[in-house]
Amino acid sequence: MANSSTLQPDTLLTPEFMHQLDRLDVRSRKMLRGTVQGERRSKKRGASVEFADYRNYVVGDDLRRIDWNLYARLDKLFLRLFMEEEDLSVSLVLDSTASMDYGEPRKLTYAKQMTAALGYIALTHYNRLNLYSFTDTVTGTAEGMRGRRPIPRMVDWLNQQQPVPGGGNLAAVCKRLAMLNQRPGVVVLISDFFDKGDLAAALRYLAGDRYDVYAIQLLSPQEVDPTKGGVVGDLKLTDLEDGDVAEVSISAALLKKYRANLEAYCQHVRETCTKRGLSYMTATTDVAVELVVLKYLRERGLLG
Amino acid sequence: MSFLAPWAGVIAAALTVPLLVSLYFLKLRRKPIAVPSTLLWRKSIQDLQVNAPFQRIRNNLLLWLQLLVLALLLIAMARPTQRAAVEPGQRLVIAIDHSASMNTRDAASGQTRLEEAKERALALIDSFETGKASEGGVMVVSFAERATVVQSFTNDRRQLRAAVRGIAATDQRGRIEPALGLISPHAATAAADDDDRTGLSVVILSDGRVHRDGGDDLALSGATLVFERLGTPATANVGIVSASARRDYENPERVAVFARLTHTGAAAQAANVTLRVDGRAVRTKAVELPAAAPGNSVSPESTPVPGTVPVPSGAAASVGSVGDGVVTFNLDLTGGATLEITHDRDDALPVDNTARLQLLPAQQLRVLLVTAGNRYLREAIRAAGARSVEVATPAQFEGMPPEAVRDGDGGRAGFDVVVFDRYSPAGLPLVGTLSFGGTVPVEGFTVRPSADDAPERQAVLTWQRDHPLMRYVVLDDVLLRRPGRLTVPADGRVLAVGLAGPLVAEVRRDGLRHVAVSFDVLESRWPHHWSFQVFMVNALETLGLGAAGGVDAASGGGGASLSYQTGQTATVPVSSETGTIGYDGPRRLSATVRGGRASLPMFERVGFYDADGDNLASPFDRLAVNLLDPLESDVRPAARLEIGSSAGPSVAAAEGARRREVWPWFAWGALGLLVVEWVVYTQRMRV
Repeated sequence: MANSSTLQPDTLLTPEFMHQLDRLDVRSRKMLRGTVQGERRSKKRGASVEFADYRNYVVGDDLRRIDWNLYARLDKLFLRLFMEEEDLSVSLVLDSTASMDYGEPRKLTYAKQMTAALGYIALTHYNRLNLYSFTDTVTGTAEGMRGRRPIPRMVDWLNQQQPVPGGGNLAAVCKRLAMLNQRPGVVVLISDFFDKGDLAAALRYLAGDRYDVYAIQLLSPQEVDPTKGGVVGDLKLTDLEDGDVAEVSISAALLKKYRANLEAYCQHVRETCTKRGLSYMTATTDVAVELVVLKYLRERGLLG
Repeated sequence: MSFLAPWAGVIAAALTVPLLVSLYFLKLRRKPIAVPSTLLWRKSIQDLQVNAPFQRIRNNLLLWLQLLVLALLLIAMARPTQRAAVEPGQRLVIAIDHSASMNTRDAASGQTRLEEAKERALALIDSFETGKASEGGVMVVSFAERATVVQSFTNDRRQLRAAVRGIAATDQRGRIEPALGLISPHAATAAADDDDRTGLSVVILSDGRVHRDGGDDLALSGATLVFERLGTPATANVGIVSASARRDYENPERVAVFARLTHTGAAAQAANVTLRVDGRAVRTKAVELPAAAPGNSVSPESTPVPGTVPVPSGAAASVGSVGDGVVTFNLDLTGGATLEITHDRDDALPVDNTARLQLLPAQQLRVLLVTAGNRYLREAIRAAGARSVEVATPAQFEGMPPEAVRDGDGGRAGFDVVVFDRYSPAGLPLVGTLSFGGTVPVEGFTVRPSADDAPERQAVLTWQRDHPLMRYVVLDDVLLRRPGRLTVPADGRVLAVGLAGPLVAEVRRDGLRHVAVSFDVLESRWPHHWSFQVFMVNALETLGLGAAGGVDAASGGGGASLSYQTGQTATVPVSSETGTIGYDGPRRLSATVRGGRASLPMFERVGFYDADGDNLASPFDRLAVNLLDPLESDVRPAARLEIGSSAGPSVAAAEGARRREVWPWFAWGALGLLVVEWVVYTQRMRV
């Protein structure tokens, strides 16, 4: 994939990119309940101009909604029902563990750019945007943003997010997220998913009808092919998160084994997500953010 | 394999092996590098995380290869040697016995001794360093009744292997002399050559069951002899070693069939012996065979075993006596018949389980006695079973044409044997002859009067007990008065020897036997001795049957029957004067007819040989060939094979201390493995 990104690592959004993003909106596969009136169709019948259905009048109904023309023809009272439109809650969850501070470009930078783009789309369409960052628990939040006005706040918040040393704990994070964000909505989880805990148990908290979850696994090219990252020879490998040490003598057989294991791990994450009803996609950081957002996320149905 | 410097190897191993293994325990100095997660690496190498200073030893191909390289080097350092059949630089003669006893199937792998011998020979050829041009190479000799150079000296292993593989089994006796005779010229050459490098080694692959014809010492000076013994000492075999059929003198239709069995097993054995007449079983008799004695006694007297000398003690088997039993069948048969004597023991050597005889029709010999008057002799001939005895004076005899003597004329039947009493005929008769005090006219075959100073009374010193004429003849008490001096041609055979020289001798001309006795029977006490009658019976049977068609009575047929032994040749009378005849049997035999007779090649395998056409009269249309050899049937291998006592200890069967160092093989092997180890290492480390 061509590295055609116009975004520099220190830039989250450019005007051209924002212009392209204006045409997009966050979509949800589920019809989620909102809080205030917005631009999303709701399961509820409400006060929009779009006709939905008739139903028999019962005592106590609003007399203003009776279809008098129908009463004139049929001599029966019917109520006209209209579609309800509500806003959408979009939560973007950013992994800021130490393992994200790796790769060229860095996975965390790439994740911030992707979060900024998604947040921009959500805000421009008057969706309710919540931002979370996590390491072993949720470390940063920016909730309740709506409309174009909080865009600078979103960018500031993203710029503040730095990799935090220490191990991650996805299960605790997911549990905490479910407690913090009780509103139904779209949740986009951007992480490398290098978690030594039980992934299935972690994602269990986000499963269910309440959230429409998109899991985006970020991998750096150096992780896909370790030799690009200088992993050659007899090495003492140190885990960036928990300081775990593994001693390896790199050989063709070992690399082959590593690649097979990486593929198997990605497959494991994908299967775990699919089982829990989560959407999954993987992205390597050598692919331009614009391409991922404008093409792949649209294909996945997150944007449209 | 043994080592010249084993301690050097052990010490070096004690130093280097732990060092090499400890290198695998020690950890490498590794470059630290940070990765986002060790999760996948740990999965890839589960056992890399080691906190101890030593890591757990892993099943590492490289370690095994290096240990193997080290082991080879250490073995090379200990200077391994291999027992070499041949000193490096020597010429080698491989003599393979393919006699009947070598067909014994007693090898652990189920092979016969010959097959095992061939395998050993192939191994010898492989181990022989044939590459050097200075070496004379290897010669392969096979021997049974005769010896053959199957491959003369060569360095071409392919030819040598083909020659060894081409050696076929025979049922003949094994004789060592012909083989030594073939080898000795090369040994003499080697001895004459002062250069040590061209010495000759002779490896004899045999079970040691070989015949020695004479008492002469055999020596191979200048050659090193190694006897590679084949066979298992405990092998049991029941064999028929002698078989004959005789007709009663008074009642010729009564036939006595006689068989002697020997047994080499350590436990007594019972066997059922079946007699078949024309393929039909007519009698079965049980015979008890006592256990063979594994002692120091030599094999039966009738067949001395000069080639083998038992060892009093030791791991190798010593040759003891065999357990033997005799079985006799009596039956009435007038005409000719095929007799088969079979025992029912399933043993390691099948060729001696059956003896075959062609019973001749009842007939008695017609004998012409040429004498000036010897009633004693006439009665002796008559008593010996002759159908008719005619007496002629020397003058009458000279008047008869030789053909008339053989074939008869004018209504008179021909004679089978002519006995001359104190008369030497002018011409050689066309039938077998027995002469007392005279000889037939054969070059170098004369009887001269006794020397004046010779003692008046002489005894018989020795005689050939195994010759058919002298069988059961004992001459111990016989005194002779002034026996004549008998001269015998080079191809003649002396049957009895007295103080003044040969007393009884035999020459063969045109397939006929002519026996001369150097004294007048009336001038001896022999006619009063029972052995004279035995001699006359033997002589008339042997000579008469010989006249009937060149039957070799040494075949042990017993007079009334015809059979041959392997290793013999047969001359058969043919009705046509020229042409060829053929026999179908275990081996195809064919011969050219010359003058109404055909000489068949030597019999190799036992069995019946049936003539192709109808120009062969009975009994020669079917030839019975047997082994009938006590020495070959005694399949216990001889512990030693002594070739000539005069040759000294160097000729003994001792396994030589010749050793060849083989450390270069190990060094080369280590080098090869080192290359493999390097390739494996580079393959692994290539990213």
